[in-house]
Amino acid sequence: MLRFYLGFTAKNMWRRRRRTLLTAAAIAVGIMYFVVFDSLLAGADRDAQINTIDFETGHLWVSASAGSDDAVARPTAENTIPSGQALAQAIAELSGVAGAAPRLVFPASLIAGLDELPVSVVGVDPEADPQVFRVSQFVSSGRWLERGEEGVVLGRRIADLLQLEPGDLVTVRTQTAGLAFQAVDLAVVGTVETPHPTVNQSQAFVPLDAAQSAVGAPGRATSIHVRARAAAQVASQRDLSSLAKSIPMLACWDPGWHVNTWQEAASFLTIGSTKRTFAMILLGLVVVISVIGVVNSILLSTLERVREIGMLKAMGMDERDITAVFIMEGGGLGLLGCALGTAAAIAGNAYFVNVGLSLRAFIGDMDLDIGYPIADRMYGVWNWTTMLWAIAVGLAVALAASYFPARRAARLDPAESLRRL
Amino acid sequence: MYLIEARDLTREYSHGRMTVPALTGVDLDVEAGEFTAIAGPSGSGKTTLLNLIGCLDRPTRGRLIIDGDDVSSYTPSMLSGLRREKIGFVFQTYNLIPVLTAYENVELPLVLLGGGTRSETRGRVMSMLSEVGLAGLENRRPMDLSGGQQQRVAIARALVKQPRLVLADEPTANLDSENSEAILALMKTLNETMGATFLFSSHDPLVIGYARRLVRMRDGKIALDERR
Repeated sequence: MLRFYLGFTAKNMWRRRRRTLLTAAAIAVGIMYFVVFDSLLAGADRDAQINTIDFETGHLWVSASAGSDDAVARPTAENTIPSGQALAQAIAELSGVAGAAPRLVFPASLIAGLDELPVSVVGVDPEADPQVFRVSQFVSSGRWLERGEEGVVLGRRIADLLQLEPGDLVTVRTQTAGLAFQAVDLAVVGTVETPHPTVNQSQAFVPLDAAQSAVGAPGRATSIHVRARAAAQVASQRDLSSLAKSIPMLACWDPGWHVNTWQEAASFLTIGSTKRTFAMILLGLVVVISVIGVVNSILLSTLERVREIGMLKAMGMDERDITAVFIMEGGGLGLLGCALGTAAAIAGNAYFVNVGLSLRAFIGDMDLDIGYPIADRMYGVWNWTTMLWAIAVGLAVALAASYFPARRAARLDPAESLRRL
Repeated sequence: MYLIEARDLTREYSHGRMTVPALTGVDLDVEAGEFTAIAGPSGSGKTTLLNLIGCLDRPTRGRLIIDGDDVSSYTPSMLSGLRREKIGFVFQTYNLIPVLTAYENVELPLVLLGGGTRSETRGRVMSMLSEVGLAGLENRRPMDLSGGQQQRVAIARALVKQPRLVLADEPTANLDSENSEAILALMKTLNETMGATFLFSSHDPLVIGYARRLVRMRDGKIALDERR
């Protein structure tokens, strides 16, 4: 009996093949959008987490003030750690630590001829910093810094705006802890173009001792950054908790300092919940498309087949049988839509995983700062759970949506139906 | 015992405040194996009577006993079961399922009945198609068959489950005289060989001429009931 019903369903779907295809295509498009959108957002999330760790914070960082403040402040005795280099070395010797590096970050203006640009100067230990951060791997011209030199490495966008190239001189104007203005001339030794837009647009890297001397904060660092020997590239809070607890056990530890995890700096994590909301909205859209498509298709099918329904009832089909016939058609539409949607989602996602989506196509040459630490290209990720969810929802909704028109058909009066022209 | 016993069978239709009687107090007994024509002009109540006897409609008043069971109080599901097991239908417009082949249309009542193996079902369907002269056309869809051939498929579909009763509403109205005669001859042969009771409506004298019993209706009542 099931074999006959399945064949009957397939034949009826084929009979109205254009409508079947349109309805299935609508479901397929909904599923594809949901899967691809979720993939791009998950990919953006993953890249943002990696970029935060690789270019902003490391896995952990020690600061003299609690929490993360996005605004770069003038270094003072209160917000800096004295003997930053020594603390970094002590942390680097702890087990589970791959590297530790001090940084001294302060606001400054870069002056090149008549042009002036506000930037964040990042004082780094040129040898320790690459053990925590990946900035030095993205040198686009010139070279990375060397210890003791009076040089600067600029974010690519800064260099472009000030029309600077390696070998040029630039003036860094800043304020010391005592509020005195200080200007230092540095040679541009290189530029970096990283996957993190903030680095490219607003950071200038100088050797730590030069930075300390510029702001009159010898030996001090605003933060010590730590890379853990974690198995995962994006180490979780749990992976880092034992390391975070062992750092304050150091003999040189000051109770006023704080150990922070990269998640605390990741303001975009709040975007994660927005992402979930958008994903739910898209899933809702899949549901609405499926409901409208399937209800419309099954309702039209029942209206066109009133006499046939009458004949089926005359032959002894009861309400349950007639309902089953139309629900199977709805399920068939859902199944076809899900199959097409899955194929389209796999093809679309493969493109976005490998080629990515260029944000430049939307914003042109404008500065790209969408408050999300990712480059100008979003990449997708493979998330089979999302795909299974989309298929399950598409199928369940198609079955549920076909129930009401199917019940309506099942309740038709057989004598009345057979009279219908 | 009669196969059909109708007592005071009445069917009224409501149109707003108006009530239109389609059948008024009909008493009719039909014995098993009869070949009965229900004749009368349009609107005389022929189709209404067949619909009530076929359990496709419910009487406003009266009792209907089919094969010994009073079906007046049957639930819709019980009526479906009765139709599935005991009644076959043939309609003026054939009412074949357009997406199914001739074979599948005839197979459908057996599928609904369930129970038989695939080879048994196939044997019964092919034998029935052969009986109605459609051997070799089993894979054709209704649109690829002539009107006469479609009506033969409809007759095969009605008879394949060997029902106690076959109801045919104007079975030859859409056919030319040659095909009409062939269909009537076929129905009569099947009535004699298979023993199924045939009750059919028509206002065609040719059809009426084939019947062994004639029930003539007028204004929702039986005006004449004669056996030949």
